[in-house]
Amino acid sequence: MRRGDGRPGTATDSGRAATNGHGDGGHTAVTNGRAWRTDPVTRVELRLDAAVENLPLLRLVAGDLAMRRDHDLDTISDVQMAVDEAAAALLEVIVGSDTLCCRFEAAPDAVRVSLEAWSAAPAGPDQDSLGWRLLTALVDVVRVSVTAAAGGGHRVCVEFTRTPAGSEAP
Amino acid sequence: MTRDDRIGTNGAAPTGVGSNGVGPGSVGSSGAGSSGAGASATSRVDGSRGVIVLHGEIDHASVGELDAHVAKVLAAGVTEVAVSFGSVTFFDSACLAALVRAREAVVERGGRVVLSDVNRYALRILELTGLDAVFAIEGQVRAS
Repeated sequence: MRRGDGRPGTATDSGRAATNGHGDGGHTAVTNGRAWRTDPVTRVELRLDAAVENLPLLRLVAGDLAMRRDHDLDTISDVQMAVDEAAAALLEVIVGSDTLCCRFEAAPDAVRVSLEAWSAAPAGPDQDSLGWRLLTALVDVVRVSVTAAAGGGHRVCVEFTRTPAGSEAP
Repeated sequence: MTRDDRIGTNGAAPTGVGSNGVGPGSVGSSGAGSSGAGASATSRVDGSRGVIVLHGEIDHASVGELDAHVAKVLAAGVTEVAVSFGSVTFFDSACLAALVRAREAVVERGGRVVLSDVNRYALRILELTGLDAVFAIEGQVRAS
């Protein structure tokens, strides 16, 4: 199931380093006259309806990105389950919001996911739930933040990082 | 007598769930193939044993099907609920919580919940949550 690096990206001026818009200086390599993107990090941002029916979509994106960065099958599965549990926990707690914002960042050494939504209530996810226990067992670090939003209400954010050796596998 | 019912997840209201007045194999409007999330379940009652076969992805959105099948076999008076994971491609804590609820109900009758056709990754998740000690796990653990 693994895929190698060097997937074709957007063609750029051949042979010259090109910015990837993230300020870290993306790179291209030229083979057979075509430019191939070789950035070590792949980033995706999604804004979608805040509904559990979208969990399969989040799992799909997280799994695909982890696969592209050549992570092992357990890491890919763990990232998929972690994003599912993190999003479900967030959806459970947000009040009066219809949009979920998700950022995925996949590098060879780690996958990072950030999930954020507006909420009328200043509460973070239930950290005693079965799903939260599973989430924290599957990833290296989980961070929760609840901050005041501009214009009222709160921004509730759940972020996690998973490295290939980061699970509590028995 | 064995009764075999299939309920598909297609986002529609769960009509037919738990209805007993329909013939074998005719409950629900769709099978696994028509579900957007690729999830469905079947169940049957063999004497005192309720057998639930899960298919596809059992998550927070689709777990209602599992609950419905558990309620159905419990209503038939079973004392053991066997849940097959052989065709499951993904499950999360919602599925595990449903199984815990099923266990609570069946233990009151002196029964148990048995999980079968569990693969290596599913066993790992059960171990991470400590639920491998709560459920009986039947048969060989599949490699994938």
